[in-house]
Amino acid sequence: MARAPKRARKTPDDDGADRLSDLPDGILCHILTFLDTKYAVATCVLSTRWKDLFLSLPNIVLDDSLTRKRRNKKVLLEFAKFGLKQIMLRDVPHINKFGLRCNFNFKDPAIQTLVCAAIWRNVKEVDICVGKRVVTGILPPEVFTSRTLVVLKLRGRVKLDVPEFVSLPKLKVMLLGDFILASDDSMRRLFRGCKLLEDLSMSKCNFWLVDVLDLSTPLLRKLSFSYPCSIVETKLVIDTPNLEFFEYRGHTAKFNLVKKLKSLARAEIYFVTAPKLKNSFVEDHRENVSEFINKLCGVKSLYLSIDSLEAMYPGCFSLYVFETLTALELVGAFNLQILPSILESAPQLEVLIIPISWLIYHDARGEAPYSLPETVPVCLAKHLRNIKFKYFRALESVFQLVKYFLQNGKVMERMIFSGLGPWDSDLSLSARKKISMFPRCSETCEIVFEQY
Amino acid sequence: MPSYTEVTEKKMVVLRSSDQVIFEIDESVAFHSQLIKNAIEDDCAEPAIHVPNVTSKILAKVIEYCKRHAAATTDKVPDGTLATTDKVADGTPATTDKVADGTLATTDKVVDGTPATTNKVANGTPATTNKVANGIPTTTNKVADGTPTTTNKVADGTPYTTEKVSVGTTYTTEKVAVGTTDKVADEDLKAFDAEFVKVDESILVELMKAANNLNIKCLVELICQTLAEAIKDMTVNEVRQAFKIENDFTQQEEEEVQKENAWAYE
Repeated sequence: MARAPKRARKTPDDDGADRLSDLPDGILCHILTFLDTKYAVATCVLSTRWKDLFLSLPNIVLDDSLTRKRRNKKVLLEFAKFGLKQIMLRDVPHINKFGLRCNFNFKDPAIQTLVCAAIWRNVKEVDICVGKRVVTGILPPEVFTSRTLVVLKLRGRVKLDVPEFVSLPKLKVMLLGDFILASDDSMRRLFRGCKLLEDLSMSKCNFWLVDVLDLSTPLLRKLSFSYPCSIVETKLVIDTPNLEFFEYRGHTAKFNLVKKLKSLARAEIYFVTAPKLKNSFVEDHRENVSEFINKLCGVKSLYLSIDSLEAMYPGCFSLYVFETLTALELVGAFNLQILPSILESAPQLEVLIIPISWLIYHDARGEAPYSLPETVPVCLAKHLRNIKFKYFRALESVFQLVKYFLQNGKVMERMIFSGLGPWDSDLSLSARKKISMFPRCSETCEIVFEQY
Repeated sequence: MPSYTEVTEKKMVVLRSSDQVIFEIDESVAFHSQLIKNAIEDDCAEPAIHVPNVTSKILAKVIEYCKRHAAATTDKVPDGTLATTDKVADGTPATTDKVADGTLATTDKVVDGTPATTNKVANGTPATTNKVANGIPTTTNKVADGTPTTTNKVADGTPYTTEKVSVGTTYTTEKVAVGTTDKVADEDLKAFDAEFVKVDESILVELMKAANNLNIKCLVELICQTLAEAIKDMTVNEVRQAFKIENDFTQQEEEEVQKENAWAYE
């Protein structure tokens, strides 16, 4: 059949020349890497030059919600076919990243094949997000035996079924989100199969079916638990001697930190207290939480929800000695009177951030000035350089405290007050004036005021 | 102007655009371009670096970008302040003084970690330098007994005093500290970037070519991202029009290509 005549060529005038033609293919491809695969591939019809550009893209990101068509079996198959073709056709030594956002029935064989195909093409990073509407879903076992996988991110409110045999020799980063963890055994199999794991995050996972979570990964450097569900009865065994960063946000669990974390550089501990805690519950966990904090005592930088800790175990902070702590950030409303005892626990403290809270004027003794210790805490005399007071309140007891710090902070370099409100308000003006007038022990101390 | 021993002499780099316009810029700004950096290190920068493919109009814009980004990255943290190990949430005191409008103030580098706005007052009367967000000029409160409030000592011992001011008078010091945190500075930079790319597509492509020629990685990234976002929202024909891409497919070829990747067009 005779070829249809070519479309009449447009005469390119100076202004009409192909503006992108001076750029090398590499740049055009780089532009495409910022696009979801659907849009990147759609560009292939722009001109003959663009036709095969997408073949050299190493990442594939598929999102099945990006279609305007109604979801039915036919559309699902079209999506799967498209995805599979992409994985097969890419002219790269291996797929770098495979991302899949699936709101369809994840269990469908077509989708399962898609995931397997990525694994077969030696993918390095997998990021699967199973949408909320999906009720069931299983991951193909291939995901757990990939020889090349370095980063594995799985999110989805489905039960994480881990196969009998797990071997992920190159895996360094794992993120699990929203999953319902299947059983003790399941988790044990998972962690046993990734010996090189360095970074583990579990976000909003459900521990209902797990009695003991055993995290004994020798090379783990970063660990993060964020808002685990139903974890209060779970025993968390953490044997990770090389941990450098530890984050825990959520209800308290039955912690068992096997050894003191000596390499810990930073810890972020944010306990969420249930409003109606039974006394027995609190008592049960007391020893446990106490031991837990104790094992963190070698940390250098700490972010801590002091309010929940004090609520559960008043005065517990003063039982610890944080020998190497240099930066401390406290959050939550707590009675500032315990501040000196907190300072006693951290003799090397250099940086301190504290919120000023309403608890001050709810003190039983009213607003009467309280006595601050005559023996100045070691850190205040020797190391404390930077203090930031957040959510400033112009209360007498607060001014007293500030005065105390200024009077005794021998090496104080900077004190920051934030939350003063609009710059020209009476409150702000008088507070600033008052604070500026306090005598300072450290000649080099600088005071900074911030509105918010 | 006195020179301070810690501050290396400001080196200037001369660039010449395709239409023979000369631009003189600070070395730290010029170093954003890997090409220029290499040329300087290989000693090929004298008397000027010729940039043959970039017009003065575009080069000026590129320099504007580099200047802004250079200012954002050269703030030094005083020695000893925990800057990198503590990832403390917004409001970390480990911030440095940043200058309001992006101009780098070079005179405030002080030795041994003493912050540059050291208020040394004779008789112990304290003084504060109030820092305000975003370039609003500051007021230094005069202390009741008339003692001059700020005597800033700079590295080599040369003292310089700021004027005695009465409350209410505003004046700007060379270094207006923005009492904000790294987070806000980042947001400022992002806002600058967003404004910077709000130009015609043709200019964007020219900027891209310049950034690519001069090998300015961050600018290339920024423009790639911008172009990607633009393309995402356009139909095929709109993209062709915007970037003047000539469609050299036949009708049949075009249909075939679309059919091969059907899902991409739904």
